[in-house]
Amino acid sequence: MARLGASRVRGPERPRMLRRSTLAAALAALAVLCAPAGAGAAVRQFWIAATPTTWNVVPNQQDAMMHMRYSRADTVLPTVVYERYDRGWRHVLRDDPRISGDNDRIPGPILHAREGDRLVIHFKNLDTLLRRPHSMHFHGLRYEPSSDGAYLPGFSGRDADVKVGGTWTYRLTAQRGSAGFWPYHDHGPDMTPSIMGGMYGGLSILGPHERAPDRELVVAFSTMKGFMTIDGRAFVGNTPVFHAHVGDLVQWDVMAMGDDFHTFHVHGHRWRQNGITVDTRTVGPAESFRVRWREDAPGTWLYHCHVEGHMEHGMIGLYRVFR
Amino acid sequence: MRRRALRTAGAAVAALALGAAVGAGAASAADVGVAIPGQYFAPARVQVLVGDTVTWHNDDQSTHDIVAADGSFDSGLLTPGASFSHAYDAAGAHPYLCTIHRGMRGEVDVVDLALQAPAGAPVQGERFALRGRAQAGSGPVTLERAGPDGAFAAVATVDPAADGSFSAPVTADATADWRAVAGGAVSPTVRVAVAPRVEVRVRVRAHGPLAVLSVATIPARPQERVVLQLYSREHFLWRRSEVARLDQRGRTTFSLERDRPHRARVLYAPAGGGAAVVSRPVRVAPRRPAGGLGRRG
Repeated sequence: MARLGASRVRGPERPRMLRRSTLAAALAALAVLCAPAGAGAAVRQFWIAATPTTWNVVPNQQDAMMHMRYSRADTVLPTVVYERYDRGWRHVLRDDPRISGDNDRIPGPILHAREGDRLVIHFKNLDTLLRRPHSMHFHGLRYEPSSDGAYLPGFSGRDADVKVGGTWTYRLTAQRGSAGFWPYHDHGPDMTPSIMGGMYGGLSILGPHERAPDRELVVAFSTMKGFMTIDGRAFVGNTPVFHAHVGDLVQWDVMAMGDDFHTFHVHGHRWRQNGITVDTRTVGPAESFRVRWREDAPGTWLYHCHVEGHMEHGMIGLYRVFR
Repeated sequence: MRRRALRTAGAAVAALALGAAVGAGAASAADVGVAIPGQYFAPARVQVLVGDTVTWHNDDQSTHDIVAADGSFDSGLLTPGASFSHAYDAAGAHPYLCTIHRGMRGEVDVVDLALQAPAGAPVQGERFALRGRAQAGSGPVTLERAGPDGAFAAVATVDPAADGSFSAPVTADATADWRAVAGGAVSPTVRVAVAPRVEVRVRVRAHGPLAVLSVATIPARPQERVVLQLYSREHFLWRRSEVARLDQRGRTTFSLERDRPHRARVLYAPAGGGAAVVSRPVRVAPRRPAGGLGRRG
């Protein structure tokens, strides 16, 4: 049932090879998710950590469309991101390559579940770089206050203030009607700089009988080091280069973090929203939505935020559809 | 066209800042501009001399402010179209931010004497210009180069123009740190990477399903390493594909499958350090299917 993600990527340029163990783990998770509906609610466990990394917002050091070059001093920063691990935080797991093109680490891992599932998310703070307390706060799903992860002195508990080296387990329910794409993010005492540093990710929930898409493309709008970013990167070639094939069921997961509203637009494509056809949709801070279509338009297309100043400063990427 | 206009304005502002920092038109202290075209500063980092003034101009639709990270000044609210100036009297790094949008950060680096590295790496043996700016009336500027032991030795002396700007022609012999000294003031150290006088030649020939790239270094660089790079069209960059060691004649070969077109080049990075040298890019055409004329469409 599960189609092997790695073999689906047959563009002219293959994404980075994944370690076999990582790939196996990701495919096993996918196989579970793609199992026929009606198999009953599942308990899905995830191990997530806040980990330090060195991040380059513009790895090719240029805005190729405007022929502007940027030095590494302007684009590289040390930061802390969410990463997914195997049980007990022993080894890092990367997202399945079908998801988010060549994206890595920003946004954090996309956590997949189906309506009716329970999610048990074990979080560990490994932030030895900035030594900040962190947390995870989830949108869209049902949870008790002890899984809110939102810092409020005198009220919140350890869930909202996980110190360096500490852990917390968040328990969520993907209740009826929760199908869709939802953000999660740090809501600890230092949430603002942590979010601007990339501490956000997504929950992707399928309806009870909904089939998983062939390609799931994650677009997270935010800002970083003065650039307007998609998945923590700015300008074409740095933002994810998404691949799909004609006939694929393509799903875009779109979210925004920060202070700005964005308008998500994909060239050469349209979709239905509230009974009308649109090709652009607004998304504000912590808002999110998903868009699905059956791919029928081969070519190399742009996707971008259509706020001109945002596109100008990096919020633009490539979407390539192969026959 | 709005994108182009905006970006051109941004580039002009950046050039203005650089120009003011290095070659101001007046004998008095310079005024360096920083634009606020959106939720960022352009440029985010400027270098000025002690006594120079920095002026921020809010070109955005939103209100911003400019507050020194050490609290030494606060612009108050800068509405769209408004400007704010601050004169810097002390050398050092002076970070600042917008307290309304705390992700907006910038830095003013204040120096007694400014020195700029040349754009691009000069080739060994060639003359290049070291440019900078001194306080007006500070007297002759001496350019010093660090030796292998790290000690600086004078190489050239120039008299700055009336506005303090100077340009000193020097010879590129090896990658080294440089600094300028004038009347007790010392510039920050600047590294100038020098490219060796080596040419990397690449020849392509088809060999069945493969294209063979013959690489030669002139003069020969035996036993050193070269890197085959392929251009990624969708990532707009050259990516490392393979590394090879040159033989005794300074040559090697790479092979590529002719399953699709490639743009390739070979990079030589000197083992002893210094700037890299790259070959001219070569194109590898895909193999035509048997029968000759190739498919259409």
